[in-house]
Parts: sequence; C-alpha cells; structure tokens
Amino acid sequence: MAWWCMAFNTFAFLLFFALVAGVNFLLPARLRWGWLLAASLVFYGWAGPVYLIQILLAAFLSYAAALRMEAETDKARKKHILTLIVLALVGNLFAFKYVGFVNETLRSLAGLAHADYPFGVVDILAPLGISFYSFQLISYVVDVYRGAPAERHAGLFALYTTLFPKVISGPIERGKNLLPQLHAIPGFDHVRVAAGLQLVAWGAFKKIVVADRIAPLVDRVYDSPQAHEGIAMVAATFLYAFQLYCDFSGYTDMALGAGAILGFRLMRNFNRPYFATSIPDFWRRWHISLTSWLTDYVYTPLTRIKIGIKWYRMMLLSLFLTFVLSGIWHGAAWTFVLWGALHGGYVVAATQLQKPYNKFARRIGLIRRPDFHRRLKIVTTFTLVCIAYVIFRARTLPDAIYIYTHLHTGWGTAVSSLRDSFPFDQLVYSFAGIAVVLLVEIVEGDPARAARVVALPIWRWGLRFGMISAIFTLGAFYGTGQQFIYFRF
Amino acid sequence: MDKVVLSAEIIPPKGGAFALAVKVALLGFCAALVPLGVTLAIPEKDDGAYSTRIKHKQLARPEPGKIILVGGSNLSFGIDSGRITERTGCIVANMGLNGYFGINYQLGEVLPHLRAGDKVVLILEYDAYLNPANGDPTTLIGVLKANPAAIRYMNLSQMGQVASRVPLVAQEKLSRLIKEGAASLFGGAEDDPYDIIYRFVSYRGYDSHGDVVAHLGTEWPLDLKQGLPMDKMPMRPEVVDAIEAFSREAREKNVAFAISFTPVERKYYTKYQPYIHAIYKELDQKRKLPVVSTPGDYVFDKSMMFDTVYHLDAQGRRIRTEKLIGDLERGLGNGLDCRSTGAVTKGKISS
Repeated sequence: MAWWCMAFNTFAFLLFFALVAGVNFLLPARLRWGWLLAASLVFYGWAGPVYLIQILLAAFLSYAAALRMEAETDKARKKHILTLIVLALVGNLFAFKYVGFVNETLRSLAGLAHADYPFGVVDILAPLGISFYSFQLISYVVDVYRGAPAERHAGLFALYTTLFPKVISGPIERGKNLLPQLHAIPGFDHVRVAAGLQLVAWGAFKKIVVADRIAPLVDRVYDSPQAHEGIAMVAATFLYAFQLYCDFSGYTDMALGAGAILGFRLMRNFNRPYFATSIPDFWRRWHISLTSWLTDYVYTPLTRIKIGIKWYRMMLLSLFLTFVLSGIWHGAAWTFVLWGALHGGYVVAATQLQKPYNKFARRIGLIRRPDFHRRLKIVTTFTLVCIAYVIFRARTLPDAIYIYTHLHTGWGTAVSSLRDSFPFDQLVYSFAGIAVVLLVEIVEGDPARAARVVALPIWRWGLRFGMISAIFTLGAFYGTGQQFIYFRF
Repeated sequence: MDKVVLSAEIIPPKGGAFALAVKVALLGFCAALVPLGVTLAIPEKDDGAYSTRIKHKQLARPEPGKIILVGGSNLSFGIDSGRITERTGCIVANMGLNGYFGINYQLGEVLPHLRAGDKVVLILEYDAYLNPANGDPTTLIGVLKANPAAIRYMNLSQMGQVASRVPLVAQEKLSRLIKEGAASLFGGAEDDPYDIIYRFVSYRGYDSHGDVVAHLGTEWPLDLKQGLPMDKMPMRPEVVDAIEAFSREAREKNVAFAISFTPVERKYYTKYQPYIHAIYKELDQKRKLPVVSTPGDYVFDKSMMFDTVYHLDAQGRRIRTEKLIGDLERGLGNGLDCRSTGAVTKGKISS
C-alpha cells in the first residue's frame, strides 16, 4: 500500500482542495465534471501514476460491460457478461490483495506437513482503495444487470469511479445515488459549503485530536502485549475502539464534507455505532455502505441459493458467511477472518437467542425499566465489539490469544499498572477527546436538543471555535498514527 | 449526507462566498491564537532564557573593542569573563547560552551590534556542527518569549519553523501541567532527573557578564550527559558556510574574528577524535578560517567537568579561561589589549 498518498489530514490536501473547490465554483456548470475528473486523477495518481492505469482499466471494463448488458436481450448472455466482469473485478482484487496471504497460508500448511513448497514470498503493493472501488464497480454492474440504467457518458463514469473524496476509503457509493448527481454538479451555495466545512472540521477533530492522540497508546500495548498487565490491555482495547471509530468516521466526515462543498451528497457511513443496542444494530450503524453492500450483493443472493437446506438455516449460514467475507475484505490475515467469523457468530447467536432473551428480560423485570435496559444493552454490545477488536488489532493470532488469556491480570494494582503502560497526560487527552465525541453523539441522538443548542449564536460559534482551536492546540501533528487506518483495507 | 453535526443547515448562514471566506479566515485566525496563548501563558520549566537580556545589555555597551564570545552553553558554564576583562581591559559579552539556538541565530544576534574594533570569538560545542544551522524551534520560542525583540535575529525560514512549532510547545506545556497535577494527586515524580540543572541555569544563576556562576563550588550528583554520537551524524556544511559568511561580514565591519574550540571531556574526545579533527580540518585548512587553537588544547579530565561533556566546573573554568586568553593573545596580538585605547577605564567605571 502506498502510504504517501495525499491524505485528508495533510497540508498538501488542504491546498489541493482549496484550489479544486475554488476553480470548481468559478467554472461554468458544463465544465465542472471535467475539472473534477482531472483533480481526481491527480489526487489518485499522487501516490504513483501507475495506479491510474489499473483503476481506469477497471472503470472502462465495467463501463463497457454495463453498456453491453443493457443492450443485450438474451438473458443467458447478459448473465455471462456479468459473470465475466465480476470475475475480472474480484480477480483483480484477489491478485493484489490476497495472493500473498493465500501463498503464506499454503506455505505454512506445507511446512506443517514437512512438504516442499515451490513458491517464494509474494509481496505485492496493492493500489490505494482497491477494495472500495472494486466493490463500487461490482455493485454498479450488478445493478445494471438487475435493470438499472447504464451510464453512457464515459467521462462521468470515470469520475464516478475516481471521485477523490471517496476513492481511497469510501463510502462505497452506489450508482443510483452518485451518478445522477454527477450530471448536474451545482455551483457555490453558502448553506451547503458552510455545512461541508463544518463536517470537514469535525472529521479533522476526530482524526487529529482523538484518533491520532490515542494511536501511540494502543500501539504501545498491542506491539508488545507481553510487557503489559491485563488492565492495560483492557484500557488499550477500549481506546482502540475509539481510535478506529474516530479515525474512520473522521475520514468519512471529511469525505462527506468535501463532497458537500463540491456539491455531492455522499452516502452516510456511520450512525453513532457505539450506541447500538445489539450486534445486528451495531452493523446497521457501522460502515453502513459496506454492510448494505454485503447485504445486497452477498447475503441476499446467498439466502436464495437452493442447496437443500431449510430457509431459516440457510439464512443463518448466509449471515455467518457474509460476516466472514466482511472480515476477509478488511485484510488478508487470519486475524481478520476470525474477527469476521466472531461477528458472524455474534449475529447468529443474537438471532437465535432473541426469543429466550426477551422471555428472560421480562422475567427479571428489565422490560419495566426501558432506559436502564437500553443502557445495559448498549454496554453489553460495546463490550462484545471490544472483545472482537482484540483479534482485529492484534499483530498475530498468538498475540490475540495472549491478550485474551491475560486480561484478568494487574487489576489489584490498577493505578500503577496503568501508569507503567501509559503516559498520564496522554491518557487525559485521549479520554477528554472521547468524552467530547460521545457528548456530541448524545446530543445528536436528540435532534430537538441539538437544534436548541445550535440556535444560540454563542453556542454555535463557541462550538466551531472550540473545535478548530482544539485541532490547533491539541492535534497530534507529531509522532505516530497520522495515516488513516482504513487506507490499508 | 443525512446529517451534519453542527448548525449550518439548521441556521441558514447569510452572505456569499466572500462573507463565508472572511468568517472562516477569522475563525481560523482566532483559533490559531489559542496555542500561542497557551505557550505564552504557561511558564517554561526554567527562566534561563531571560539571561539573554543580561547578555544583550552587555553587548550593547558603548565601550570600543569589546570581546564578544559566541557559542553555546560551553561558554556560559566555562568562561570567567571578569578574568578576561582583568587581563585584557576589554568588556566581555558572553553570549553563550544554548547550543540549540543554532549557528544562524547565534551569529545573527551579534551581527547588528558589532562595531569596528570589536573582537568576536566563536566557540561551538561539537554538537553544533551536526545540528541544523537554523537551530531547534522549541528553544527559539523560549528565547523569543524572554526577549520578543529577538525575532529580528531570525531568518524567514526560522520564523516559519518557530510558528509551526507553537502547537507542540503548547501541548508540551499542557502535558507538563497535567503530569505535575497527577504527581501531586497520586504521588511520584514524572520529572526527568536531569531537571535539577534548572537550579543552575536559572536567570539568577548568571552574573552581569552573562556567565553562569551558580554551579561554581557545587557537585553534580548525576552522570555526565553525553554529546551527540558523532560517528552516526554527519557534519553539516551549512554550519561552516554560515561561519564563513560571518567571517566575511566581520572583516567588512573591521571586526576581529577568531575561532576556538569547546572544552570537552577526555573520554568523549578520545571516542570521537577523528570526527572532531575533521571539523578542525574543515575550518582551518579547507575554509582557511581564523582558528586560534586546536581541539586537543581543550580536553579536560572528567573531574573538571560539571554536568555534561562540555560544561566545566570551577577548576576547569579557571584553566580554560587562562588558556583561551593565551590563545587569543597569540591569535589577535596587540588587538586583544583594550587598555591602550582607554576602554578599560570606561569599562571598569561603567561596571
């Protein structure tokens, strides 16, 4: 993966975006798509112009296949074209992202069997955002196959694929949402641009002030878990939950904000996921564009496969397999596969245990205290998510096992164990940042209260000022953790 | 985009692109002042940077033929300026304070004050030949806070580096407050043991010439702090370029210029002798600069060092001062003596 791309949290991007947005507003409407396409190609090519060939080739093949499918009247031939293009896109993704992983797995198996393995180490540099744009293109061709109109304008389709706010880490856009917007790119609008700027600033706050501040603390424990007590591992996992969320949702907010400034409404990707009351609810709130993609293009087709299994069981199996695939999508490592499988297990268990749990909750009186019950479910869900994060974040499977088996240690000497593992000032910054994010999300959860708060100019401007001055004053501009985590997916 | 976190869509803003740009610029400007405010409001760990005022007061004295010592802390710890005045009759401004100011600042702060007949003696720690010529922005922020007028001694690039470092300094200061708060709440000390140096380099530890005197007659309780690993860091040509340029400007101003060497602890010197000699060769033979001694002349036993391999204790300071006077007498000849010009009398009267 090319780590030296023009990330949103760099000064280079700030200058680039100001130039792109400024010129975009000055240009006549009919020229805007061309300008944005040129800007998107520069942005993507920044990491290495060679990557442009691949993304443009994938876009061209999808564009041509969609037109061909639309023109085709024979259903079987249409399906044949779809199969070919999906195989090409998946093959491209597999070749760059998973060949090394499969090779290493086979090598390990050969080693266990004391057999010779003929291939050496395969280290392929995956193009930026390959997982995101591949899924976006697959959804487009499948939608066209299912009857959606194909895009005829090659330039607009190239822009749909490469649009710079979302090309590297999503959201995984759908043709029906984005393509119509590309046909009528609006000019400057004060309300929209101001809203976009605020969203960019909020995303920058989450990334630079919260996620990047937490990153070195988590690295410290997860890079060498053997050197820390269990209580530090618990704290590091809790912090990682917010590092990952603030990193990815911070990126998404910046992407959505940048899109809004330019005139696009990109798909929403997060909806206060740590306030979810169950694991299925969590997945309706976390990385929404991926979850809905997996639902539409993996889970639903899987449930329709007829292999002699009863529908309910097939549904559970499909759920489980979809989550395993989600894990594989996140990374080419067994830790990600297991993380996906664990979430699959959670969701299957939640579905199976729903009725007995409801009965149990009624019996012990939880139903009569809905607020307490909801909070209990939020805490339980968050704890389960954190348990799964251990596998997600651990460098290796043995590290994850070590962490799981040592979580109970160090609780008797909590303060000194934590002080040994973390610099106190960094813990204070981190928890303060998390508190701010949670507070904003609590207010967000009550739109009437949110409207009351921002109706007062002093609050409105105070919040804006506080957010930007916090970025300047407390932003982790130095040290580790500056790259977006989801860039590697 | 379903939801925007803050208010823009709920409360429609007024005005066009220009109005928005002005609002954003104003907001950004005000927000950028916050880290500056934090940096200015929270005091440094020590007030040693304020000694720059003593040094500039001395530098601004009107007597002709001043001896101006330029360099880092090897000078403040290891020179008895009063003794030099006694021997030569010249006013001494010991500008040595902190090697991390960088050569550009160290030379830049004396250049505007030079007058014909002055004598500048440059003595850098060996670290200074390996560090950036523009110095460390955090250290420069400290000196700017003590003496805001020092901004005029900085080049544009240094000003940019200093401005971009302000948030980090603000964060470091906030972190220090939090750590101190934690230490008072939970007990224990988060401080670096080396922090006891601040007892000696405080503003009150300097005499009127700009020499540190607080350490004289005291024992340093810790091991010697080492210099940079010279085998791992190359000499920076930009540092010698700056010295060469200064030498030319001094000549144009009719100012005598001499280069000598820092005192250094014997073990460190032995370890890095080839690299130290390369610096000497570069200055003396390649650039033909006015070098008046050799590095080997200023090698001291550990027993004469104070806290670092460059800082002398009272005994070392005495020996080094006499040695330097001898070197300057040989290098500058009669030019070193101010008594014939009457500067002595004036100097002594005014001090």
